[in-house]
Amino acid sequence: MTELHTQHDPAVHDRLEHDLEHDSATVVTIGGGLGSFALIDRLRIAGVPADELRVVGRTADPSGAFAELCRSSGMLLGDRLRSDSSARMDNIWGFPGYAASEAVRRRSPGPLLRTLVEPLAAQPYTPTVGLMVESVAREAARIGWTDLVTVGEAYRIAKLPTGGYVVLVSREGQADLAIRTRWVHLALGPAGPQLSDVSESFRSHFGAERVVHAYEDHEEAYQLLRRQGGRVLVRGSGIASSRVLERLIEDRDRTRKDVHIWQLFRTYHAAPTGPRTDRYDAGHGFHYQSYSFPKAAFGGQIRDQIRGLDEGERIELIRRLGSTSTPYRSDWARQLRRGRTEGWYDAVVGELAGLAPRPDGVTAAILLATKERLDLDVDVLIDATGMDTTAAHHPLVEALVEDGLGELNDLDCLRVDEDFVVSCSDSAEDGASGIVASGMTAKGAQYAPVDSFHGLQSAALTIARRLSDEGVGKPLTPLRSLRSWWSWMGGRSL
Amino acid sequence: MIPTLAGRLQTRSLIVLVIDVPVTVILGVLLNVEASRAAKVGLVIGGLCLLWEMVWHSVQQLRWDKDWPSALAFLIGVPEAVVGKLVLSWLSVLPFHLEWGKYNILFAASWVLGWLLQQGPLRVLFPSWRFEGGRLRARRSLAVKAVTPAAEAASPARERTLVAAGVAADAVAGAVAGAAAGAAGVVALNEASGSANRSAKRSSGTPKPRRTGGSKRPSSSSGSGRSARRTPAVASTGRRRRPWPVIVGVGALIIVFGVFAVIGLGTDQHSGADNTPADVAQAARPVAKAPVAPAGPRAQAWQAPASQQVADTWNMHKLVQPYAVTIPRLRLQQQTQPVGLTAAQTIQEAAQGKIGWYQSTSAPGQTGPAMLLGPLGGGGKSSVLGGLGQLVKGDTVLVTRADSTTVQYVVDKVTKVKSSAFPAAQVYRKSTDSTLRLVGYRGTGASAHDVIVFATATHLLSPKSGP
Repeated sequence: MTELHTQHDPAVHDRLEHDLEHDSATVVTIGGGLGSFALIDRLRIAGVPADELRVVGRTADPSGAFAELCRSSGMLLGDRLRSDSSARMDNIWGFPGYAASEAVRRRSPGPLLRTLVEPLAAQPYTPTVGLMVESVAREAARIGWTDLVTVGEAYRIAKLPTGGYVVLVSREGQADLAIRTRWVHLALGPAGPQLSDVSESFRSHFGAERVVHAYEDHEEAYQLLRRQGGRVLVRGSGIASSRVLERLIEDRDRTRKDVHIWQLFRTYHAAPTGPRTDRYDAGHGFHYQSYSFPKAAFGGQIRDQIRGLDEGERIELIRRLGSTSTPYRSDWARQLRRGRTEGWYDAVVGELAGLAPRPDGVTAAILLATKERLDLDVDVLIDATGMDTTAAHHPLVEALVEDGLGELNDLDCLRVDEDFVVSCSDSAEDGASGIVASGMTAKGAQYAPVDSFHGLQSAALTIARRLSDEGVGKPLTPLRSLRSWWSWMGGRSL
Repeated sequence: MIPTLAGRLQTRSLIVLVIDVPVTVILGVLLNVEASRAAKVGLVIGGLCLLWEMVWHSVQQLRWDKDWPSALAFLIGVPEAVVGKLVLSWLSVLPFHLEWGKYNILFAASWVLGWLLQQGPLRVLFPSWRFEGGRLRARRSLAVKAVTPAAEAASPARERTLVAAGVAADAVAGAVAGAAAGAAGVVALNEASGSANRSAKRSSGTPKPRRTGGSKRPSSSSGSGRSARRTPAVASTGRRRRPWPVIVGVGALIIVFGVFAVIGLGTDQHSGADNTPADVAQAARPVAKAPVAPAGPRAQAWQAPASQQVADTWNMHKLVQPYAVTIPRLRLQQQTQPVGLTAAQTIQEAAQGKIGWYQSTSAPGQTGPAMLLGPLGGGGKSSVLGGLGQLVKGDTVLVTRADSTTVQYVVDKVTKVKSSAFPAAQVYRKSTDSTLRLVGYRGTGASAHDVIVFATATHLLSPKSGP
């Protein structure tokens, strides 16, 4: 490995010197989650042999990280995701959708009928966590996923002077692995729960018992309120906060303990605004939207519009369209309406300015939108502000940018072109190799909801098409597509 | 699929070719309509469809998220059918006249098939179709990439004009006028926004002969016929311009498709059910050596406390999370916690002092086996389920659920096994009853043993509602 470009980095060089195992592949995908899965699935069904593909991830299970997040946030396998029937991770065609599978399983046409009349006559159909996890596991078995996975942490990507890259992977209890490859795919997912500086510093001093995050295991917080009642502040107004509120109110109803819920909004959407043709639904502070972006951003006019914009305008539009929102569900709305009339739910508009400990609780200092300051004594603060989507917080991306193999955009994610190929200041374009990115790692790309199931699949199709241009795999022509679909339907393993 | 204008035109052109025309011809023959006449009906309706798409596109602009639900895509068939009939009668100097009954059958059949095609089979043939707003091929890159701010600012205004023109014309003057206005609007829109939409431009050019041809009906009708034939050739990249047999063949193939989808789904579900036990068998590798239990005393009777009553209704399909496990004989009460699989595909351990509920099994009180598990103690682990082996057949195990109800189980049998011989098939066997598998594990490696308690639910208890 002496030709590596890494001699200037002693740490890496040392690691390379002693016992390093070697491997080679054509495409290596790093992340090992659903983003990696979408691409590998697409490549495998179009006939790329398994020995040309490698996956580097923290778990051997493609939906493992996703399922873990769901569990931490208190979602059970029967709970419903915020997703569409056709955004089906284990089926690149989206047909038959989750609704059809669920209809067969439940022996009831309900889910299918719902997809036909949504969103006009019914709230949209959404798949359950269990359905999604199970079907991904089945498809993973079909395409031979486990044989491709190396469980470990990729810590460095270096360019080889002879063309192509080498990916260095540290593994537990084994020598590091160096995989030579032509194409590297990055789908690293979120860097962790998003914690504000205020919460972060409070937790580093006083522990995480009273200031919890919705995407970390926070069952203890609910138990505390179930035992003794109390006051709780929920920060944020997105989908995570909706789930937290639902859980709090269910517990409150069951235990009949007096729990007072405060919800901190940064922006309060009192009512729909704007011209009739460009207005989203809103009320009681929430911005209601079925999915994380307007529907047409997933594959309609807004998608086209975003593709036509230059980067600055594009990111501006993505920020605006993808701002915090939560779907309207009548049962959630009913719960909150009850809370308002009975006086145990209050909305507060402002920013969290500081946190101070007090016996058995926290004092949250809130800078209200009216510029006044409100000190709120609560027993627990639940931070429901979502995940940290900044790709640059991943050490691997940071190293990549430092080495000049990638660039960051205004969202601090990797800048990619229309085929999701990472832009690179070190431009020795031979076309035969490159780095591609999808999912949150590529936020700001010419596709707005990159981190949705749809986005991962759309990116997988685009990337695979580009790879087939470069001689890796074959394009998914109608006939080949039909054949692959047919073998998917029959459950024939590849 | 959320359509864009180009996508609408491409998709509709394909449907006219592979569904509308063949279906009207085949059905027409069955209904004693001359084949050539039926084909003309198909083409005229198909041609109108392309014009309609422009109208629908402008209606779509009224929806804030530019969405186009499946129900709408289906219902727009009604106005299209009515106007189609009017146009056909209007053109009745030509031998286009058909009775209403036959026309309705022809239209409905081709409409339903075309709509079904869009609900799934098209996604299979063209995987990018649903991400590209209905275009049959993914766009490689935008021909005109640099959209100047001015043009960008101008386009919404144009779109609004288009909306007005399209809708008004539709309401007042019927399809022909509406289509012409729509077409004109589209050309303007294309020029303004500069979006490289070649196919849209070409097809929107097709109504021109009709306008210039004025009152000459024959030319107008054949014009639209030709347009329908020509447009798809452009839209679908010149691939399917081939004659009848191919078209009919493809149409038939697609019909067969839907049937396959339904059949295939059945098998899909089947295989899914099959693979659980095997996975889980490997996953459930609880543990350790255990003192062989039974020979214990008789089963202990248990009386529900006065604060509880047997629930009136028991929904065995509802998933309610377990909250705590109580075993009266052992004087044991522990909280539960849902657990999944670890990276190594074994079941996760619950937090210290808690009993894990393996989430992929049923929840207590649901039909099927619910598996709860915890360490028996030893090896540095707390004895969450210590003494489990002392239970005997007939003992009571209670699982309190998050909704305050309690499921009362009676123990069927208690077994001790080596973890390497974990009876997965028995443990995970499906049943219509609500059953419980309480697994205690101890030790690691070859010395790992499990104690498994099999129990069946007998009652659901709920708190008496106090004053």
